[in-house]
Amino acid sequence: MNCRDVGELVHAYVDDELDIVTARQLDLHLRECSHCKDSLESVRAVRTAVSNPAQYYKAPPELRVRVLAATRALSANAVHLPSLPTAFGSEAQARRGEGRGEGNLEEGRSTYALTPTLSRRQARSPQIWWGVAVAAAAMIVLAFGLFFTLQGQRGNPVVAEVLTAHLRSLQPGHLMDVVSTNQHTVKPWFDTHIDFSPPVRQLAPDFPLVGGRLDYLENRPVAVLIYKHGDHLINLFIWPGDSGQSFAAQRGFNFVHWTSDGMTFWAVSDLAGPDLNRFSQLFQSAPAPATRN
Amino acid sequence: MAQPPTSEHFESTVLVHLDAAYNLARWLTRSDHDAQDVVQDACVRAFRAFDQFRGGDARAWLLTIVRNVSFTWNKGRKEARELDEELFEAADDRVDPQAVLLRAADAQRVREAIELLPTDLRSVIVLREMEELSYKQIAAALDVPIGTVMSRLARGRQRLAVLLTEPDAVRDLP
Repeated sequence: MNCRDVGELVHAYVDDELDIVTARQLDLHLRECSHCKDSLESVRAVRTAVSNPAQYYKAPPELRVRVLAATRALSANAVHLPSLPTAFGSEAQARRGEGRGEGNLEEGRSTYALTPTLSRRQARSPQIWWGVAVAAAAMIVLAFGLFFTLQGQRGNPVVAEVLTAHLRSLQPGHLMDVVSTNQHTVKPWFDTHIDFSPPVRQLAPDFPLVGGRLDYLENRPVAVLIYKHGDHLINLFIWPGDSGQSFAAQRGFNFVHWTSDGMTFWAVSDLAGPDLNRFSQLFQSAPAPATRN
Repeated sequence: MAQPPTSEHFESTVLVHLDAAYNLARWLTRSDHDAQDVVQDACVRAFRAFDQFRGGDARAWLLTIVRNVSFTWNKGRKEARELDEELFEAADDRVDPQAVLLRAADAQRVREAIELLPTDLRSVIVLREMEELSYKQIAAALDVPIGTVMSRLARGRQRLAVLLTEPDAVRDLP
């Protein structure tokens, strides 16, 4: 790595957003290069300046009272409280039109788009859910420039859901909520973010754990562990439940499904079938993590 | 059918992040009065959209809404002061970290420097440095790619470093 490669990487380095390999390379470069070391230190200095609690504006007490009053009134199905009607009237109206006359203001939809929309529709009707799933998968596939149809997957909707979630996770920024190769970091993260405790295991060195995230499958939030094998990613979906085991292949992706200790596991990857099977066996035979220390 | 949101659940999930919401709105609108209106509006919107909240990070979700409302709120208003781009293009990225640290304790100066950033850089700086959101969460909140978050963050920090160390950086503004 040289100074030209470093560029914005010092920011990602300071923010702990670099993958381990790049971080190591940068470490080595920083030991030898005072110029880049200075950039790094000035980024840290700016962080120190801005994150000073003196710069943080706390909500005034009267705002808290106002907001509580407004949302409690709404919750009691009281009259609609028009706040800032002039500034937002037209936008609100446009959005209402989109919301099929339900009057929903779908804030944040463009950003948290896929999953909340799915889960909401899903709660209503399986048929609608299926349509949305197909549409969502189609969108993702278009985004990837792949071409496949969901025909033939009706026999196992979980496979379709797992595949959709896997493809979604491959989009930039969707793979991981917690980035860590350490099970003692990943596990507590899940404990504070989900209502069950997924087994988090470190496997053989050629199947390193790289992180975890929350996803939404089968009408519920599920835990996902992300492992790597060479350049291939493996998503391991885990949720409570108990329903058999199987192996499936779908459009170049392989799936292994098993249950143990009352948990359902689905591993999906573009890894070759035998390798994914080995992963599954490694995971199942890995000792439960020892307690910390 | 989705449950109608209860105000108790909403309060314990979303409204506990009222400080974060106000802080972001306050930095984006640069006015206490506007920030309060923005937060109130954002909370009402969040409440109505609460059934779409997927159960991830409620703070990031609320901040997304605050940012969207602030954006609408700021539309049509001119930035109080625009920075001179050339000033920063001219500045080398060689900034003395010690000089930055020396100014870091001067809260008034730091505040002015942050306020001088263009809104798109300021939002990234506030979300990262004050709220400690991940790049991914910032990208979601601002509806931009992660690469854009990284370049805005880099530019924002670089400008702050210059603003904090160059005595003339502020005075020469139109």
